[in-house]
Amino acid sequence: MNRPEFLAALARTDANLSAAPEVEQALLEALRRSHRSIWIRRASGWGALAAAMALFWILGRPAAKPVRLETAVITPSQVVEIPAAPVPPLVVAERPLRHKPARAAVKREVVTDFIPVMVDPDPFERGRLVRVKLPRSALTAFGLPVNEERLEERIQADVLIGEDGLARAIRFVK
Amino acid sequence: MSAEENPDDAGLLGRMRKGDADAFTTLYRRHQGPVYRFALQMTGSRAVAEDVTQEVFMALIRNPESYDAARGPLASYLYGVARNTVHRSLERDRFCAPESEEESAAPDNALADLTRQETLVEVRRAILALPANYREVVVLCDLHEMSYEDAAEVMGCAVGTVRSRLNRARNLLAAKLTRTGANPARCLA
Repeated sequence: MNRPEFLAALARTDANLSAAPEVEQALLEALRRSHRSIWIRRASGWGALAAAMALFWILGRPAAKPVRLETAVITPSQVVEIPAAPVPPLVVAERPLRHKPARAAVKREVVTDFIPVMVDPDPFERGRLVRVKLPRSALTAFGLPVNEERLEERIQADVLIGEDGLARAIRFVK
Repeated sequence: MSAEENPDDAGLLGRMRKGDADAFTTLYRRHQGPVYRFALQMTGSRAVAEDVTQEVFMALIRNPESYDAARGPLASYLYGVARNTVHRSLERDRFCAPESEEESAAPDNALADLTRQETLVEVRRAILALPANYREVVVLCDLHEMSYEDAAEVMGCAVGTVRSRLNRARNLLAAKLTRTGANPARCLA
């Protein structure tokens, strides 16, 4: 089928028609915005990932530098004063979990629940409970209220030590 | 001409995805004319044609993956997006009076060319008065000189349908022009 000449003439007349330059400018601006937003989204994604990893690392590690107990110096009722530090080295009275504490002592003590100091720790079958004395200021590290006037005083705590020598949980004793 | 001087659409698209404004500009300038003219000839409105052109290329910017090179050339894809956009626009403006921009869309020629221009205006009006499915086949095959196969791909119909619609559309056009008293022979250059 041959094209009628009047249509061919119209096609020739319109051949050079094109959109206004403003359309091109608007599209270029849209392209830049779009590309910027892609980079912002990517950067946000990496930032969120980094933040999540940092959070995971912070929560996953023990409350302070893991304390590996050296040779246990064990006398069940012995309590050793330790210097003031956020988490001092533990060379303390140690006793196996299965060890029954003296009945009289249990009766007098008021303890908090165990507060985990590791997130998602490796499971362990046997552990040790270590009685330590800490500055009261250590309570704040676990979100517990502290009387500021008694910050310098010491408070007893039981630290649950896993087979790997890492502290798993702590409870405070009154 | 080397590939560097005349890069293909796929290469330009790849660079555009990475935010290369020059690649987009080349791509846009290569394809905007046909897209704009198609929209203009389908709607008779420069404003709508520019909106359609902008929308077509915005779709490419937002979602370049929507074009699959395995399914055909970029030009066909852009025509397809333009066609859908034009149809949406026509549907939206169905009850609005059509704009009369035909005169301003044509080049501003001298008085000696007035008769010819008037006839072209009549031809434009006659095309715009065609039903949309006849109009688009005239625009694609006769004004854009697209092959029946390519037009069929853009319109999403069989080649035979393109042939029959085109034949019917040309007859309708001739009848309209005869009724308005326009003499298509005066369009001859």
